[in-house]
Amino acid sequence: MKRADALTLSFLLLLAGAALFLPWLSLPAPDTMELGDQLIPPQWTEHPILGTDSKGRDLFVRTLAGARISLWVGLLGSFVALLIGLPYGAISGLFGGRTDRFMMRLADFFESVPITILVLFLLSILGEYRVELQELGLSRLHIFFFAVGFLFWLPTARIARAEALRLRQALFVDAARSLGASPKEILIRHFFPNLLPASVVIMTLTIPRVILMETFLSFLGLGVEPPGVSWGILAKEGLAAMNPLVQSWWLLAVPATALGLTLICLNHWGDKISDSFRANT
Amino acid sequence: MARGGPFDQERELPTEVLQQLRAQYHLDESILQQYYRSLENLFHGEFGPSFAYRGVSVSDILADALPISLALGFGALLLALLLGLPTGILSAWKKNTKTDASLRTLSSLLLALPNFVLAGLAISLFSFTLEWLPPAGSGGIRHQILPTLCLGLPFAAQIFRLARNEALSALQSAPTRTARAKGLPEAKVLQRHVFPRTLVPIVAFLGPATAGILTGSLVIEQVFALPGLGSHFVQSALNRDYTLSLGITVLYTALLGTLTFFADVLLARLDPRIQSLR
Repeated sequence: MKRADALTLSFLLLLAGAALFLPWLSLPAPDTMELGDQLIPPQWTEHPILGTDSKGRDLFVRTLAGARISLWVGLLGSFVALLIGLPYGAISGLFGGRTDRFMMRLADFFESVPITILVLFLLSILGEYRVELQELGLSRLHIFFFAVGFLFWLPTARIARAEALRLRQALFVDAARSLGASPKEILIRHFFPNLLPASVVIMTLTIPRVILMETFLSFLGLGVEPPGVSWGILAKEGLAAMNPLVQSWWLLAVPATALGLTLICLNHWGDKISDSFRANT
Repeated sequence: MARGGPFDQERELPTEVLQQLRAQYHLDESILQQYYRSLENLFHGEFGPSFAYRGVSVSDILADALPISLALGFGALLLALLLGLPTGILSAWKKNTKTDASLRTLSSLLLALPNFVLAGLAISLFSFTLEWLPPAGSGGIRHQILPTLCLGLPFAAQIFRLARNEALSALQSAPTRTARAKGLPEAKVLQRHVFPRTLVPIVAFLGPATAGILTGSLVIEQVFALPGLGSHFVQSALNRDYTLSLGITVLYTALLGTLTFFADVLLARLDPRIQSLR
């Protein structure tokens, strides 16, 4: 398994590095159209190494640009989920009793409603207010982060609560309480630092799911919008370009491979980190 | 409040026509009156007329679309169970062999691809290259195969992982060791001591799986052009078809609630310890 670790980690680092430094690499912009170079299949070794799409755009560049957005969405979306879920779970676990019961029943309520469906609704309604939101400095991507955070805060809150219940009985929390520390102090001084390892676990588990959610919402036209490029957009375009007469399999296969490889690597590390976390507690 | 209404068109309608339309659909009443009206309708099992499809009631649309979606959803769920459960137990039983490794690789691959990408790859392989199955549309059983596969396979992968984990710990448990020591054949060990235990996490997963299949069907129905609830829901949200989207949301919530309820009851029967957890 050592080899798999090294392989997946180096793939992720390479991809993240390429995505991060994309603007400084001397490559054409992802929306540069080369008329006359349309639908070239992958050449593997020479110029359009991964081929071009129906508008003559270089698929290699577009996939890297898509990685930029997709990874960013995954990272920030899970961070928003953490930002909502962690305090919620920590407070619920710290206070316990009636507060805990109320907060957890509220979470149960949210879990029993098909939230994805509500978020779809929310996104399509907010689409109408695009101009006003833009004046407030909020783009569609920002709204998307909130929507994703809203979707994934529940599992985060549950893990955080379980950790908080364990911490509540720790000696140092008892000591702090008997020294007269207020719940707020306990929360900030003792809970959040100790919830950090759990947060890392939650993040690694949430990121791949958020990336998948992005492709889902982009497919329905509620996520990233063209001319923005994400893997969801690329896969959607690849699917739309498919027909039995004109060969264009690479338009779907390339983003699918990039997405699949990335998610496999992320899942591998997510499992690994959560296993070692469980072994430690 | 959502801006934009169901009667927005490129050309502005004359005020009188718009007023007439709004009166016909009771949009001129106050919010409270509208809310009361739709609540009253709901108790009669009525969702009112559709805004986007003139002259058709929401109940008609639901009645047409529900069987398609039910067939797809239950087909996918059944496929996921039938594929995921046995392979999961097999993989645990043959731990660290080539079978185990290849099954695990396959499952992580299936979990890493969104279902519409899976659908696209399946269509280009089975419909365009091999020309075995139709790429889209609804009709006979042949039209059902690809959508059911694409919707069900990711869940089969998840069930596989759950079953494998549980079977692994069941295989190492004391009852299994005792049964083997007494000389019980392996098939009996798997049947009596491993299989019942793997059912527990899988039944617990049924609720979330149903929710996932509902959202998955939104996409799969679009890709395969199936006129089910999912296609209608996405369209209704875009069309501002309030009554239709409300109807589908209510139906989804009811479906999810019912299935989760039965899953919980089943879970308590399977694992008596859960009942006493109060």
